[in-house]
Amino acid sequence: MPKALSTEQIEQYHRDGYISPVRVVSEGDATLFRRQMEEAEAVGDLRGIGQTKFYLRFPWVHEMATHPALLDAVEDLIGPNIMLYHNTVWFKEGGDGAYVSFHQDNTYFGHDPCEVLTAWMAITPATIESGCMQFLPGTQKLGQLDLKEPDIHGSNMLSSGQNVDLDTATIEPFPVELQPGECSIHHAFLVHGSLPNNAPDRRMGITFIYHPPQLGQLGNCRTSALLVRGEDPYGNFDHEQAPNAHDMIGNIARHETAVLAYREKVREMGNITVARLD
Amino acid sequence: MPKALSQDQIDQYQREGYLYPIQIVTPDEAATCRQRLEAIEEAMGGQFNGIQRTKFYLRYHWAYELATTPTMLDAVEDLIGPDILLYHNTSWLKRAGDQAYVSWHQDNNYIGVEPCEMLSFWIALTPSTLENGCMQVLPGTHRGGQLPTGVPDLNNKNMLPSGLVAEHDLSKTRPIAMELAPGEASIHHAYTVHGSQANLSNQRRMGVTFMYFPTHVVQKGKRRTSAMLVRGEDRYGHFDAEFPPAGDDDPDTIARQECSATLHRAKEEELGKKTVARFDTN
Repeated sequence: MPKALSTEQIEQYHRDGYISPVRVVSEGDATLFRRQMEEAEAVGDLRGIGQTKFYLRFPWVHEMATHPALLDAVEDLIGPNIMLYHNTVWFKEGGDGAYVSFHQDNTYFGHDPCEVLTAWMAITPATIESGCMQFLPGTQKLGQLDLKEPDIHGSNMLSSGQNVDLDTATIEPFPVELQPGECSIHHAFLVHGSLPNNAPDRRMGITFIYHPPQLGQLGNCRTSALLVRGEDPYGNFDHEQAPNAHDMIGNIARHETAVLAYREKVREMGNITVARLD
Repeated sequence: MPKALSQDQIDQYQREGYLYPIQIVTPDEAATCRQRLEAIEEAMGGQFNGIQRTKFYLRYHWAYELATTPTMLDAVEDLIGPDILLYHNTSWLKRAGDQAYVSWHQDNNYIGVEPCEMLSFWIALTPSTLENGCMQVLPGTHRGGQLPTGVPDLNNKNMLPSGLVAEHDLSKTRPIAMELAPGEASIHHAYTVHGSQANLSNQRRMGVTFMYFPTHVVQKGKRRTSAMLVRGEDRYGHFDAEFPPAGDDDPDTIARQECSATLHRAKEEELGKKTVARFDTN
């Protein structure tokens, strides 16, 4: 018996590689979250490595990443033992031209088998006008795709410039429109990208990436993940500690250690320009 | 009833903005601290420098112990009350014959606590004399509040990375040279204008400073920094908590010192200091 999703949604995830929308928090809570996010942004805390895995640094981000409504949906798709591997932000200013080239999330994670999913939560409205994500339905079934020349020019928001070798014009994209507090969930092999924001307000989203503990990772570098539900009898990842509101300095130090390992893995998997946008 | 100071000393601090000498540790203990600091320098291969020199009570247990010496905290308590945060420390080292000096400045300039109830303890690890370039204060200048600053003096002999120069009229105030024996300390208010001259002796001059303020102060700007509660309780939470070092070479301790020092530097930059890292390399 699923905890949060309908049987149709679960079937859709397996067939098309995504579901959307899933309501996680109210619009009011999303607005509060936006304020916290913009305060952190204003003092420079979301720059450089600050925008990677920062659920380890801020208790209020950890709280969002482990929201029961979100974890229930994740559990329905990957089972009761859940690790949180990564998170980042996707902010586009109105008219700034920033876009995301078509890519697969697992390319530089190297999780194997790829039972990895990404929850993309809207903090402001994500619409076609504001440059919401575009999914290419069913492409998760293609597995890991080859890459074309990276697009590290101009305003591509991907540090890697990842560009999958796929004739994307033949597949009708699904625009992932979301209201604040809603999220979409997509498989880490699903090809997706996005176009620039032509709306007046900024478009803000945050992603959280989850996987079950039994899978491994390609390459040699060891990385860490945070067990957020159930248990981990496998030990394939170093265990991270949730941020402690009474130890912000410890949070910063642990966050930095985890990001360094994460980036080492990303480089090992071929993203040599991981620090391009620092 | 004061714990360490006499009422006269407290009155003098409030009136003049400085106090010295206060015996903090024995000359032998000061000599041990000196050895520990010189051992760090030997390991670093040069004069104690860079970001490791900022807030090093977070890294080295001897420095933490020195910072929390009961006599010193008793004196701090007599001046700013029982709930005490340790915010910062650094070292002030002048080689024999060193032309290095410190331009006239106020400590709160790039720390920005409000109200400015911060004080600095300067502890001598060697004799500190007029000849070897001891600290000099301008009495009563703390009562003038935050002074405007002039063009930074970025001469490479000025030991302040900021090159900070407080604008004041030297002709009106006669500087007091706070000469100290090893193990003795001076105390000055964070608005007291102070500086120092070159070391004209043939001996090294070494001192370390610790800065304290009461838990209720706030810091200008938006960026958060950290401080260590060394006495009493913190009912305000204006600063992120720091913890004593677990061991000099403990990786977690090293990482925490770096984080806290980096936050402190980011605050200085937020408050206008542009050349924070001017002396990071030997």
